[in-house]
Amino acid sequence: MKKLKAEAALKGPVETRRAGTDRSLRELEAATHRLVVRRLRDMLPGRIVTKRLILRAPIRGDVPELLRLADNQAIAKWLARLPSPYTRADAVGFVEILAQRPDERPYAITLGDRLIGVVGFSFAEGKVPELGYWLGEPYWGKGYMTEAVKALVEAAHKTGQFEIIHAQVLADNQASTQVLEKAGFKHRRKAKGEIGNSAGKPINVLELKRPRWM
Amino acid sequence: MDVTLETKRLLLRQPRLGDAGRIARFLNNFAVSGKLSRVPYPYREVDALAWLSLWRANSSAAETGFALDLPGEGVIGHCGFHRDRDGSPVVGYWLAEPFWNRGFMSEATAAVLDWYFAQTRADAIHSGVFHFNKASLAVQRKLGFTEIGVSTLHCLARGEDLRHIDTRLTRADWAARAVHLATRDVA
Repeated sequence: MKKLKAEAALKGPVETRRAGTDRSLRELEAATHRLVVRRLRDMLPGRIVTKRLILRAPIRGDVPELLRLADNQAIAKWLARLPSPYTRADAVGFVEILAQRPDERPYAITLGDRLIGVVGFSFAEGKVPELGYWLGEPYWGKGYMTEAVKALVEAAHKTGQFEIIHAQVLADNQASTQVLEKAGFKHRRKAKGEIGNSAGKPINVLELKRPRWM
Repeated sequence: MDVTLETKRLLLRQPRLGDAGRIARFLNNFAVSGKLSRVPYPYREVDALAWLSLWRANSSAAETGFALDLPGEGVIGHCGFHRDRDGSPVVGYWLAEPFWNRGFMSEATAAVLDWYFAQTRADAIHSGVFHFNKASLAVQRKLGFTEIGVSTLHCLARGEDLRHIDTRLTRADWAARAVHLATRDVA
């Protein structure tokens, strides 16, 4: 902070004023983003019920299932942000910290009150809401992931606010690509992964536009 | 919906960018924000500016609101509508601490509800208070709201879920109250 002020003083009053204005605009943009995201988060339902599943906020009681299911290379290799190995601290941090962040809105996917995976939105500043998810390996191949993604996306569309939703998937992750396509996502562009496990690898960005009739 | 309402002591008007300073000063008070669901703490002027910059004067009745402007003083609070997660319209409000206990909130909310029931065909409007907020519950009871249940609602300023008393005012109860008040005025 002090260094910034000293530099500004050297540059003279005009630049100082401009730098001050830029900073104010930057702060206003950030505050506006926080408010918009809070409203989006607020509008999403607390609970989403599907034919077989219930999506709800993650709770402390999910930690054992998170540990049992998420510490799995067969899942982590496809995801940018899932820690591997996945420890108790990661599970508690997910429930207590990440899930509480204003720019994240994850749901626990539950089957008979047991967590079987996670699906949710991230709201990064300057980007459209991004969908992310994983499903525990014992539950693969039964259509659960598609069911959860479709339900969340539909709930988002009902708010009238989610005009465009993005999802990123590693280019060779066919199972996940199929889930997104079944939910109506269309290929938008190719890219290179930027973070974590997907860094440097080819990824596809898919996009879902809100249907006109919703 | 650029409407201005007048009450005995207040002008109820659309909020504008110039209100940011006063709004931030009054909302950056835990005694106020700690009783509200959706106002963070601390609350800075830039938060007020962001809120005002997203304000749309042409929103529908269920999504608009009014600044409480005390002539000669400026903004002292707000009374407005939003939709809850089920899509039901909810009325919410806040009043700056220096102006508490003088009937401003009841006065303003009564006028806003009159306007709301005249503008819409809604059967009822929902509201509520966090369980410890006796003053606000008294305002709502005075206006004819009844308690319909208890829920859990997140309080941003406190960063925790709190017990919330849910209330509702039906159009019939509102009309009955208006008749009652008019009769009393005549007497």
